[in-house]
Amino acid sequence: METGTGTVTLFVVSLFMIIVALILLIAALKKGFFNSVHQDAYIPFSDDEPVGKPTDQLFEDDNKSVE
Amino acid sequence: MPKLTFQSSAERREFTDSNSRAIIITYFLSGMFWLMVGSTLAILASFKMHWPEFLGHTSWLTFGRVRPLHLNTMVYGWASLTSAGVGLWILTRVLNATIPLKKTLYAGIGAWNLGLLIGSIQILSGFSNGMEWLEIPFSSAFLIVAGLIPVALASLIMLVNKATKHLYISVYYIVAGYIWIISLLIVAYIPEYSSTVQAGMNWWYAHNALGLWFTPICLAAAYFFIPKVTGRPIYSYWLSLLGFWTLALFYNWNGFHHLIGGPVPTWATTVSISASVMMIIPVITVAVNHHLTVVGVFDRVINSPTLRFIVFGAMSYTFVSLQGSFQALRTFNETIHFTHYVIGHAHIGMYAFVTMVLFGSMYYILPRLIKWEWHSKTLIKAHFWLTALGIILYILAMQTGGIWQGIQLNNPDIPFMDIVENMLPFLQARSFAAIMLTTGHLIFAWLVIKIVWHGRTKRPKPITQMYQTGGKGYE
Repeated sequence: METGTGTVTLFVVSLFMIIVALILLIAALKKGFFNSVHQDAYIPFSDDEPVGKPTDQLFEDDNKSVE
Repeated sequence: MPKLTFQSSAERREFTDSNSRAIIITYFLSGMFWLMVGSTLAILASFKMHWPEFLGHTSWLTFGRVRPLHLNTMVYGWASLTSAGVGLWILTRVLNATIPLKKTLYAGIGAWNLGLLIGSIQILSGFSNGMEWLEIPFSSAFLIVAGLIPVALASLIMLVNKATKHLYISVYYIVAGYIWIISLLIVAYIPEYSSTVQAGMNWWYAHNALGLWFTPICLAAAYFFIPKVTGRPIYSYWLSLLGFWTLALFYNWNGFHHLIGGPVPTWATTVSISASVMMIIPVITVAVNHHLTVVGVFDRVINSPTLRFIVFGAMSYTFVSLQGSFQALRTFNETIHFTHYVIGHAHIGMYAFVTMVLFGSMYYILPRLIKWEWHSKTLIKAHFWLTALGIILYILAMQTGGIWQGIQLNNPDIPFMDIVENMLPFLQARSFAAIMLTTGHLIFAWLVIKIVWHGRTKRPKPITQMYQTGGKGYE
C-alpha cells in the first residue's frame, strides 16, 4: 500500500499540533496557572448564599401551604 | 462597558436578574410554545403507529409529516430555545456579567421562531429534506442559525466582560455548546453531500447535535444547580475538567455507528464504535462527580423541585450514555438496529435527560427572575411524577418491545406481519405514556403562565431573603 502525500501531511500536521498543545500545557503548569483550579468549584457560592446553605427547598415543610 | 460596583452579592444578583429578566423569559415562553406544539404532534404520531387510519386521509396529517415535525419542534423549538435561555442565565451568575446585545438577541428570537414556523409549514406541506434532524429546508433553517449566532456572540462578550477571576466548569460547557451547534448546523447544510456521504453526515450531525449542543448545556446546568441547591461545592473540580475535555475529544467522532451494516467504509463505523466506547470516560467522571456531591444530603434533592428534575436528568445521562456505548457494538447493534429500541434510546437522551434538566432549571430560574414563588407545590409534584413515570413507561415499552422485535426480525421463519402485530401492545403503552407526558406539560405550562403573570401567590418578602433561610420564610 502506497503512502500518499496527503497522509504524510496529515500525520505531520497532527504531530505538530500535539507537540504545540503539550508545550503550552507544560508551560501553563510551570507558570502555576493550575495551582488554584480547585477554587473554581466555589464560584456558584457567595457571601449571602455560602457553602453549607441549601437553596430552593420548596417541599421542606409540606404542612405549610404556599397557596 | 462601564464596570458596575455592588455592595453585596445579593445586590449584584438582583441587578443581573432584573437586567436579564425579559430576554430570558422570552426564550422560555418561546420554548414553552413549541413544547405544546411538539407534544400535540407526539400524541398524533404515536396513535398513528397502532391506529393508522386516524387522520390518515389528510396528506399534511400523515405520519411521514407529523412525526418529523414533532422531532423538529421539540429539538429546535422547545429544547434549543430553552437551552439558550438557561445557558445565558447561568452565565450571568457564574461570570457576574449582564447579558449584552439584547436588541440583537430579540431579533434573533424573532428570526428563530419565524424559521421554525415556516419550516413547520414546509414539512407539513411535504417540502422536507428527508434527513432525520435536518428535515427543515435551508430556506427556513438559516433563520434558526441566525437566531443562534447572537447567543454565541453574547456569551463570548460576557466571557470577555466577566467580573470573576476564575472560570466555573459550566462556562466551558455553555460557550462551547453555543459554538458547536452553530458549526454543526453550518457543516450539515453545506449543499455538497450526496448518497452515502450524505447519510454519514446526517448521522454525524444528529448524534453530535445531542452530544455537543444539548449535553453541554444540560451538564452545565447540573454542575451549577446541584452544588447551588445542596449547598455543597462539586466533589472534584479536576474530574469535571476531565469530563469536559474528554467529551470534546471523543464525541465528535460519533455518528457513523448508526450506519453499521450500511454501504460505508468499515473503518468509518469502527472509528465511531471506538469513540462511543471511549465516551465511557466523560460519562463516568460526570456520574461520579454528581453522585459524590449529593451523597449524604439526599433530603435536599427530595425537597427541591429543581433537583428532583435535575438529578433524574443527570441519572438518565449516565444511563443513556452507557447504553449508547454498548449498543454501538456490532453484536448488540445487529439486534436492535431498525427497531423501536432506538426510539426509546433517543427519548432517554432528549427527554429523560435534556427535557428533565431544562424543567428543573426553569423551576430554579423563574422565581428568581420574577421574584415570585411557584403557584402550587402540588402541581409541581404532579408535573414531576407524570413526566418521570411517563418517560419510564415509554422507555420500558419501546426497549423491551424493540429487543423482541429485533430478535424476531433476525429470524426469517417469522412472517413480517406477525412481528408488526406483536408490537401493538408496546405501541399502545407508548401512547398512554405520551398522554401522561403531555398532561405533565400542560400542568407545567399552567404553572409558567401563572408565575409569569404573577397569579395570586403573593410573597411578603423578596425571594432572595426567603431562600437565605432555606425555605423557612414561607408563610
